Amino acid sequence: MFLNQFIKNKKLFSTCTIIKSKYKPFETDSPTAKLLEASLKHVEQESWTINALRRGCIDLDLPEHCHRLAENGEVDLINYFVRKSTIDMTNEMQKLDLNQMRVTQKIRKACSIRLELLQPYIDTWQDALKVMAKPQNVPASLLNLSELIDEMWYLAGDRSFDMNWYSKRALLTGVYTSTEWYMTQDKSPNFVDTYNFLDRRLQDVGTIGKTASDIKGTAEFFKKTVQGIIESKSGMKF
Amino acid sequence: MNKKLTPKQIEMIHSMLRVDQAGEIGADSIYKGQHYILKNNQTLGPLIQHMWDQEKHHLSTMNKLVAEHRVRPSLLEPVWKTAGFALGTMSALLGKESAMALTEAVETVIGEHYNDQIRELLLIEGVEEIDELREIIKKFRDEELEHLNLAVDNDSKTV
Repeated sequence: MFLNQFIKNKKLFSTCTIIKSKYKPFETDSPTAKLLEASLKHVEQESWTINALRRGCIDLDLPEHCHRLAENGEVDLINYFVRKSTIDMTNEMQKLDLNQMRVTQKIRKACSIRLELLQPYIDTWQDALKVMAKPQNVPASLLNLSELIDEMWYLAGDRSFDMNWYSKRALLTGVYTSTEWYMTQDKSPNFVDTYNFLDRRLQDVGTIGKTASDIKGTAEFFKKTVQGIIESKSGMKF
Repeated sequence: MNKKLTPKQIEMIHSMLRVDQAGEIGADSIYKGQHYILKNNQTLGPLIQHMWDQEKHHLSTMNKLVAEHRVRPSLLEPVWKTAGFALGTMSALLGKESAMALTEAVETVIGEHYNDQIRELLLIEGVEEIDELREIIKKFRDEELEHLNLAVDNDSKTV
């Protein structure tokens, strides 16, 4: 169901529509997608494990061994959740009047919407992070993360096409992942501390533009050097 | 009815746009470098300005395409910029003819490269965005080949 929405919301060539063989988003209305959706309800008690999938099977009146529909077990469950949250975040953001907001506001809003989606699963989220940090799962988690961050910048109206593209994504990845990690340990009511933490991180990188222009400065510097060399060798004045 | 692209095709288009953007960055920098040296030259000054203006348009179009279609830009952007500028200034310092010979060589390669891409894109039918992209690349190819002709007309072969 969500894959269709996903593709509709995007440009045709968007990175997110690339279906990587092993980490493909689950087909619309496929049995696997249904099973994963049902299993999410049991994550709170069973954490991100095969057991959650087994209980999902029971809910759907399937035999327990049907948890094999999700070939990679709990990894599929986590991937499904992460991708679904990215899509949900996009849909939520598109309901807002984005033109009235400044870039930083949009980024903050996107982060907070995404964190709210994580909230119901926060107690077990550290387990998921541990699973996704295993070497064999690192490519998938990086892909998920890069999609999320790319989505956030796109929603924020960023259309950078040079080195800014990299610096912006690197900075926001740092902000978002650290905030998510902070949230798993946050015991404050309504996660106030987490949102304060997020604000502080965003303030830290308030110099986003500055960092980007530093990189541009490097290129400029190289160009100047070349000019300098020509000038000194040929005695020519430009 | 807009057909869907296969993942393989999407990946191909992504790398295509990335290469094109990098190429246009290089071309833009080369003309920038040549213009830097030859701007006061009576005949070549305006000619290089004309070609540079077209390259600027190409580059801004590619930038837009890269951003809109969510393509990861080339990581080597600063390298292309610097190398292009150096190449442009050096060739212009060696004389008008060598500047034009460089233009001829570069535009030959770019023209062929665009031709290959058009051929690839012709294999994908019935997708609106691809049709648009093909038209853009065709127009750019024609302009690059026009630069090639201008370079030959201006004694590039006499080096």
